[in-house]
Amino acid sequence: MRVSVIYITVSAAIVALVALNLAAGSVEIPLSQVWASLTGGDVESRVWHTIVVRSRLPQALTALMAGASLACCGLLLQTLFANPLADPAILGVSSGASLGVALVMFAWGGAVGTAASTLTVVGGAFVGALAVLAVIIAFASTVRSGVMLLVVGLMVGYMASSAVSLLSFMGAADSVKMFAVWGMGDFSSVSLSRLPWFAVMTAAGLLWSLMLMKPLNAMLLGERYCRNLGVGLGRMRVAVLLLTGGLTAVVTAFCGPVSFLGLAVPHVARLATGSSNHQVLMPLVMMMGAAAALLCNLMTVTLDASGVLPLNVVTPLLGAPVIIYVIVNKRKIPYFN
Amino acid sequence: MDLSDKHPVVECRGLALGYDRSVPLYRGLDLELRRGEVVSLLGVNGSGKSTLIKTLCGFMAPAGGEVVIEGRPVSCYSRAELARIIGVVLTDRSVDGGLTVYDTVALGRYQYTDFFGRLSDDDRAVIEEALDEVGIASKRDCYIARMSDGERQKVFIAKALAQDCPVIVLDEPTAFLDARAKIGTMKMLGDIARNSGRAILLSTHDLSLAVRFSDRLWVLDPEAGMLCGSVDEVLQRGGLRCIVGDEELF
Repeated sequence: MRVSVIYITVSAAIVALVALNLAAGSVEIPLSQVWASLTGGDVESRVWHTIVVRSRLPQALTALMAGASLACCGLLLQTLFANPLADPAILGVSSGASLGVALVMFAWGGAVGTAASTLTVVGGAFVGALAVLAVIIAFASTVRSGVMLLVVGLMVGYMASSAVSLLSFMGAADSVKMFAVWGMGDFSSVSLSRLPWFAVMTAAGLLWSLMLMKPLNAMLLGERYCRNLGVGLGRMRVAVLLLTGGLTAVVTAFCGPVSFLGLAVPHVARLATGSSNHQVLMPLVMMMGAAAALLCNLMTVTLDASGVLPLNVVTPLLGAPVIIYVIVNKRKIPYFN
Repeated sequence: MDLSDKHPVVECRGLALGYDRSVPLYRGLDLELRRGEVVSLLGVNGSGKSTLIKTLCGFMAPAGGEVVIEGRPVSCYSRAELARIIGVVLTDRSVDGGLTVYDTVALGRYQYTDFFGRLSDDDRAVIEEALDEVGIASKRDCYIARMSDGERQKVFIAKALAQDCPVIVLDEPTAFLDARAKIGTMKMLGDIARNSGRAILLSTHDLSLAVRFSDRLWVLDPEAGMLCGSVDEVLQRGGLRCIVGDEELF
């Protein structure tokens, strides 16, 4: 009963947040006009229709899918490594994506940033993220301990960050600035024409995650119990790494490295439901991730009247207090023990 | 599955144990684990108890010989099949404390549930029976993190019962328990073996409990090899000297 109430509440919050994301911004649009724009009704201003359909709708849907994906990745990694503080950034995939983007931007110098080069940036992030992922998967076949694999991920991430720092140090001022802006995160870079690609890729990852709920529950018992239940642990580990690496790469490529959503949202879902059972948690984590991303996006466009705040200015404001709360109260929180 | 007869469910033929095939800890072990009996595996630290348990459970390959379960070599079983034959209870502390007792026991039904892990009415009935059998039905909604060591042990025994397998292997089930809980656990295991016809193998350092509650003993002695027999046979042959020295304990 309690869980169903939470699901209904989060669903309602998502609907409300999507509506607010479509209505709020530098140009305030009445909800009735937002509705008319979406349903093909009479809209008072042609500009409002364009803003809603061409700008805010893709941005809201991007936030929704990206938030769901990152939160889902956080849950997957926290279960895989039996570590409630694991998140997509830990594996170094975000750093790998950043390295790919840095290489592209600094190789093209200050000219990068035009519409035509955006795809190159996306490709760079993809390649960087997948390269790190390939290294992690190679280690996964020999490093059997989940914690040790986590440390390997951290080290690979540090190496990628080190390379990024070197490129930034050597890069032209324009490129450094452009890279810094990308690194702040943004849900508005997915246009209406590219949205289907983004949606299909993230939806495929989310669907695959839902199909892993059963073995993920077995993983909560630890490696030896999991093996005794007949779960192919090696295959499962590779599947989770591929899944989280792929989803993180897609989101990072399109939106920049978004911090804290993957780390914090699974904790909020666990605290709300009081359950570690993935059949309860997984869909809720996706929904809460979507709601959190929508809220963050709304804050970026409403907190600064003169423009749009970077996404990573806002996400720590919501995510960090959650992490501090669970660490301070870890003795009282069952899944930390 | 008829569990009432006492024929061997696990047989080891010429089994060699060890991580290094060229220098195994033991060679040529012939062992039998029968339905309806409790067998205690004894030995000093480092004598190979855990290695034997891992080998029997299929966690590691034998260094030689073979383990035969229900007439088939263990290597012929798929992971899923093996999960329906051997249930393990470990002293593992890495279990997520946010699982409830019911969720944990329900995971014993892993090989019986559908793709998404949904429980059928039959699954629920087996889980209820397992919870009742170990006496923790009233704590079904408690978190694992909130359970005492003794209660935790019962939860994982219930999980093994829910696996509905003819063999249950327990790695030091009485470790960390107080005296009353140790006796309660051993009595419960005896009842489970006799009432359900399951074969129970447990490793322990508690000699008095092993002697009092076991049907047979397997004693691992790195120097003399392995001694197997009823409790009386092992005691008469001085089989516990490798553990306690020349002290007369029994």
